[in-house]
Amino acid sequence: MRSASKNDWAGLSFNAVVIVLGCFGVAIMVLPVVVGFMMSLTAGNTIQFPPQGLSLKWYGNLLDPAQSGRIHAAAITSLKIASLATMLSILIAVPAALGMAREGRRFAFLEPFFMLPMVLPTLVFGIAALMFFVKLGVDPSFWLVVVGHTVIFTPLVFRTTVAVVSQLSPTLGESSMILGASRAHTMRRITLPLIMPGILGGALLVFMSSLDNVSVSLFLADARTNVLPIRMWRMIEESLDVRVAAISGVVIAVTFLLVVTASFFGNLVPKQK
Amino acid sequence: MKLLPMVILNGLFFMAPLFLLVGMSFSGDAGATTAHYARFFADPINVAVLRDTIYLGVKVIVFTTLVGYPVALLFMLLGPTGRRILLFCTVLPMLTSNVVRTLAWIAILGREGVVNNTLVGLGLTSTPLQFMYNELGLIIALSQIELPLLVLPLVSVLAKIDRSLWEASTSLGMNAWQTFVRIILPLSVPGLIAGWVLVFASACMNFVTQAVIGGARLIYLPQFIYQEVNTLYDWPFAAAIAIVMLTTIGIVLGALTAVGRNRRINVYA
Amino acid sequence: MAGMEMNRRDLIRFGLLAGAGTLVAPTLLRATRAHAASEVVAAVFPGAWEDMFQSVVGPALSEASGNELVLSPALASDQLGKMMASPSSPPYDALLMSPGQSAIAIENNLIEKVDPSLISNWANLSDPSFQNEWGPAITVQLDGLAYNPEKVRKPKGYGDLFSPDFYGKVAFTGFKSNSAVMAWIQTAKAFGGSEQNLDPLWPKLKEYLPHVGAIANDMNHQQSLFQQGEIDVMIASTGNVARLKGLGVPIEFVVPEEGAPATPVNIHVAKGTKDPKAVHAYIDAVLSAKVQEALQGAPLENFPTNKTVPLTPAVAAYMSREQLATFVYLDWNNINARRGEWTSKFDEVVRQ
Repeated sequence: MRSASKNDWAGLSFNAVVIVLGCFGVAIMVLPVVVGFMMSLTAGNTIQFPPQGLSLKWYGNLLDPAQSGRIHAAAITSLKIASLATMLSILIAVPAALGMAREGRRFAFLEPFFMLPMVLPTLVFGIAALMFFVKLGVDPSFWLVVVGHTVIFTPLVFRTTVAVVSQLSPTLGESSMILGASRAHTMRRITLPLIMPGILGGALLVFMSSLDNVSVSLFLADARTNVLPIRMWRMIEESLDVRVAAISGVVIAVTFLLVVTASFFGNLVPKQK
Repeated sequence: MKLLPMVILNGLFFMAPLFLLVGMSFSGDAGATTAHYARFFADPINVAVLRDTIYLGVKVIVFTTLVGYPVALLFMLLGPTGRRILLFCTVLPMLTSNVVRTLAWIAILGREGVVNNTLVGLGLTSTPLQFMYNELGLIIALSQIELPLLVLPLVSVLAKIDRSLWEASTSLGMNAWQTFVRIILPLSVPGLIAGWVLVFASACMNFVTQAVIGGARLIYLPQFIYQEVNTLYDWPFAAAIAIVMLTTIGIVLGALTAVGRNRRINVYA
Repeated sequence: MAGMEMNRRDLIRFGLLAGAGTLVAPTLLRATRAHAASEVVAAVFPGAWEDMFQSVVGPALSEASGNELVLSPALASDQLGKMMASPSSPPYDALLMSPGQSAIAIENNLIEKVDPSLISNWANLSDPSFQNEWGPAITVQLDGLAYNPEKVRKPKGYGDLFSPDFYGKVAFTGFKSNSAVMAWIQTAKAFGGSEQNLDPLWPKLKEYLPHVGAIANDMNHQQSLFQQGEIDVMIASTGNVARLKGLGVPIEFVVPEEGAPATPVNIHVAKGTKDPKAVHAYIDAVLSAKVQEALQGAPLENFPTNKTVPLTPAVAAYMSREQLATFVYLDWNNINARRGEWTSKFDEVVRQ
C-alpha cells in the first residue's frame, strides 16, 4: 500500500504476505470450480477428471427441451423459490439489522436468536416444519418451500447487513438530518446506498443457498413442486450424469456475463473515494 | 419496530417447529422423560463427537481467516477491474452445486487426483499421499465453501474504512504492519465477527462435505442426527441430539456476537 | 441496481403479494385437489425409475382407468420420513420401498393391506412371495460384489474382500444403506457370525482398517469413487453394475460365495389415501406386462415379477427365475431391531 514508500521493508513484507496468502485463498476457492467446469466439457459419458476429450455435447443436451425438459421445469421452479426467498429475506432482515443497530443494547439479546436457524440441521428443520404445518392444517406446497427457505436463509442477509450497518458513522445520518433531510430521505439517500454491499452480499448468499438446498425442499414441497438440486442430486446418484456439471457451468457463465455487464456488481464493489 | 417482521418470522416459523422438536426430545413411552439426553451424554463417544464438531468449526474459522483476510486486503489493493475479478472469484464457490464441488474435490485430493499426480510427477513422493478422509482435506474443502461467507462481509466492512486513515497512520510514522494491527484490524472486527458466525455455523453443519470428503471415519454430530432421522427413525433421540447441538453452537455464536457488541453501534434510519 | 427507489417499492409490493399468496395458496391447492379425485400421487425412485414411470406407467394408467399419475421422486428413506412427519395428511397415495423401510411403515401404521381382487395382474406374479398382502413386489434387486476386471482379480466373496490382494482398493460403507447392511451380515457369516450376531465381524474390521481403500459415506459415493478409479472393489447391486457398465466403466458383477442377498421392491398403499381404487389401478398398471417389460429395459434392467414377461438376455445374465430360490432373503424385522446397535458399533470401530 502507500506506506511502502515510507517504510519500505515493512510495506513490502506486508504486501508480500497479503499477496501470497490471498492468492492461496483465491486458489482454494477457484480450483474446484475450474475442475468442475472442465469435467462438464467431457466428450465421455461420465463426470471424470481429466475429461475424456473436449466437447460441448452435454451443454447441447442440457439446453435441448426434448432431452432435458424436466430439468428446465425444475430450474424455473428453483429460480422462483430462490428469488422469492431472497426478496422476502431482504425485506425482513434489512429493517431488523437497522433496528438492531438503532435500538442498540436493549434488543441485543435477539441477535443469537436470529441466527439460530443456521444451526439446526436443515433435514431436522424440514421435518419439524412439516410436522408443524400439518398440525396447522397446511399441506406441503410451493409456498411452504419459499417460507422454509426464507426462515433458514434470512440470517445470512441479517448478519452481513449488521456488519456493515455497525460500521456506519452516526455523524453521517446526523448531518443529513441537521441539513433538514427527512428520515425517509436520509434512509433512501444515505443509509441504504451505504449498506448496499452488505445487503447484496447477503442476498447473493441466500439466493445461491436456496438454489442448493435439498432437505427443506424435500419435506415442504408437494408432489408437483420439483426443485433443481433434488433432481441434480438424483441424476448424480443414478448415473453421474454430466449434465449436472453442465448446469454449474451455465450458472457460472450467466454470473460471468453479469459481471461483464457489471450492473449487478456495481453496488457490491465499493466505490473508491 | 423494525425488528418485528424478523421476530415474527423466527417466532412463528422457526421457534414454533423448534418447540415441537424440544417437546419430541422429551417424549417417551410413558410421559415426559430426559432419557434421550441422558442416553446421549452417557456415551463418551457422543461427547467426543460433539467436541470434535466444535473444534472443526474453530479450525475452519482459523483457516478461513488466515487465507480469507488476505483476500479481503488484496481486494483493497486492487483497482476497479481487479476488484470485479476478485469478487467474481469469491462468489465462484457458491455458483457450483454441492454435488459438482464434491466430485471435483475427489478429482483434486483423491489417490489418483490432481495434487497427488503432480507430486508424484515432480518426484516429490513415490506413493500417493492421503488427503481425503482426513481432517486436513476436510478443512480445506470446507474452507472453499465457507470462504465467501467470511470474505464478503469483510470486504464490505473494509471498504467503509476511510482511506485517509491509512494515510494518517503512515504520516504518524506507523509502518504497514503497525497500521494493520492498530487500525485496520480493530475497525474490521464487525466484518470478522459476521464472517466467523456464518463460517462457524455452516462448517459445523455442512453434512454433505463432512460426509463425502471426511468419509465415514471422521464423525461429526450432523452425521449422527442424519443417521437417527433417516436410517434408524429414532426421532426423539435425533431431536435430543439436534437440541444439544443447537444449544452448544448457539452458545458459541452468542459469545462471538457479544465480543462484537463491545463496540458503539449507531445508525440513523 | 440503478433506481433504488423503484426497486424498493417493487420489492415491497412483491413482498406483500408473496405474503398474501402464502396464506391463500394452500387453500386454493386443497380446493383443486378435491376436484381431481382420480389423481394418484405416487412416490418413485428418482432418475431412471422416474423417467420410465413417466413415459410408460402414466399413459398405461390413464388408458386403463382414466386416472392421472403424479410422480413424486423420493428415495425410500425420504418417503418414509415424509409419511412419518404427516400421518394425518399423507403426502403420497402410493409408496415404493424395500422390506427394510416397509417393515417400519407397517410398524408405524402408515400403509394399508392391498385388495388382490382389484389387481388383475395379481395371479401373474411368478412367485407366491411376491404376492405380499402389504403390496406386491414389482421387481427383485440382487446384491453382490463389483470389481474392475482391468485392475484386480475377481473377488470370491465378502470374506475375500479382506484379502491382501485388495489392500487399498476396497471401499466399504456403513449401516445407512440397506445393501450395506446385508453385505455386512453376509461378511459376518463368513467369519462365523450369523444374522443375529455380528460380533465376529468387528475385530476383523478393526484389524483391516489400515488397509481399507475408503470408508465411503454411502453407496453412491462409493460408486463415484469406483468410477473415478479411486477404488476397484465394492459391494453393489446388479442395477448399479448395469448402470455403470452402460456408461462405459469397466465393471463386473460377482455373486459372492456366501450367497447373494435379494430384496424385493414393493408398492404400498398409503394409509388415508383418498381413492384406494385408483391406487390399486396404479399398482395393476405397474404389474402389467407392458410396464414390466419396460422395467427390464436399459438402463434399469430390473427383474420382472410378472411371469408372462420373458426375461431379456441382459437380465437373465444376472438372475433367472429358477435361481430366485438360491438367493439369500434376510429378516428385516430382525435387522431393524438391531440396526441401531450395529450402527453405533460400526461408528465406534471405524472412527479415527
